[in-house]
Amino acid sequence: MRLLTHNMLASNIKGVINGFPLRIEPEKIVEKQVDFNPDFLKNMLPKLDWKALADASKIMGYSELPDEVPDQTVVDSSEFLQKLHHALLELHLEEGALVCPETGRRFPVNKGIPNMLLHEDEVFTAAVAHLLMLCCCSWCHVPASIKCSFTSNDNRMKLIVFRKTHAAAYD
Amino acid sequence: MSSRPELQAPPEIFYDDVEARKYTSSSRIVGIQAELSERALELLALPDDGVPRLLLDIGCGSGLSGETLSENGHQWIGLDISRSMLDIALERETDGDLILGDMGQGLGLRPGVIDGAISISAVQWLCNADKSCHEPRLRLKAFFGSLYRCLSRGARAVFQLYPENNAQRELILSFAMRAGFAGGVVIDYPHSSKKRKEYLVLTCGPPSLSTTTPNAKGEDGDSSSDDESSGDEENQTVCISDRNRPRKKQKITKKGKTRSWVLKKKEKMRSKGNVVPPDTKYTARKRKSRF
Repeated sequence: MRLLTHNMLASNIKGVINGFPLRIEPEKIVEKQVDFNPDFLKNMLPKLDWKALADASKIMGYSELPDEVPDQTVVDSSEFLQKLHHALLELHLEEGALVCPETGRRFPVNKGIPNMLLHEDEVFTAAVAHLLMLCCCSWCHVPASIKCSFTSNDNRMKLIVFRKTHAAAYD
Repeated sequence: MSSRPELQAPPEIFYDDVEARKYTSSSRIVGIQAELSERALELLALPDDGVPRLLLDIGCGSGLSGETLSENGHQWIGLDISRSMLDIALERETDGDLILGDMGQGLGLRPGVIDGAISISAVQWLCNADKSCHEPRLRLKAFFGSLYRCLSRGARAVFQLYPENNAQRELILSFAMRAGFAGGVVIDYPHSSKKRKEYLVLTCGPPSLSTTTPNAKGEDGDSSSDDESSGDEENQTVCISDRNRPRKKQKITKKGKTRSWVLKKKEKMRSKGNVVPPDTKYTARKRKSRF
């Protein structure tokens, strides 16, 4: 997995508000030669989260990138683009793990493929929504009319709001 | 047993080591995949300025479709649920990055970073409920919602899919529309049963000139190029007024099959996508009497 992909990946576990950036726990890092293309890098630059990239490249053992977002004059220099190219496309995380910054959940990386599959309880499903609703309603003694509005297809925000307003009874 | 793999087992189980190798070593499938992804890339309508883009390949499998993207110079990230397929992709040394993930759990990607997404024969898997926790509607919603977020504004997503029936097609389309996408279905070679391919072309952002659905290949007239056509098929009624209808509608005159009949037949075969020799002055000419 290249740092380009790492810069795009975020954890999507239910309830996680900011799952980016995933912390890298490297075990094995390899370098692969890739053709240099300045157009692609310039095109990608506004989309990159610079801080995440700089931090990630340091963890991967490459500390040539500046900490701050470079200004236009630096961006045009081929020396900078070469460094960016190396960090973004040539460094591969072969073995290790990615860790969700909020929950600490580990996503293992094997042979360069991160396993982002979630367990059943990490996905927001109809069954979970329904169960939560039932628990909330029975504990808070809410009137039946409110219960009815929480169908299993209702979205997650409503449930969270509901849980917050009835936090005392829910705990 | 049904010929649809969707009905046999969940994707991560159906595409095991054996099936994954079989899939990738079949030259027929490789050819079809390359053709489909070439067409999908064409429908993606990326700006023609030679700048490589960052594309997403959903259900990349062994990277057959990604290979087409690499050949066109683009960088890509592939997502698939089958580990065996991804292992084959590693063996084939594909250029893109691979992620083991389930599209029905939502794509865990940052908002607005992807320039386009393609998917070859994958999205219809979302309509299956393979585990007790699977709810196709919620999975479709999670998938299209997260895809809409991660695409940049004005970016397109092209999905080649094999819906099982009209209801499935409409279900997928309705969830795409609900997520905020504009677009519709493009059907290539609608008259042919073999070459007929459906593409769902979706555009991120409000409707504009760029969101109009592109024209399909191998069709005559303007019908069935957008999503309305899928409804038409359902409403079609077969009119049979007489119980004992005539055996053959085509009346062949005593003179035999005329030139106009041959031309009509050839045109029909062309519309089905078959290879038909061109019409010349020799087409359907009369043979000499000694024959």
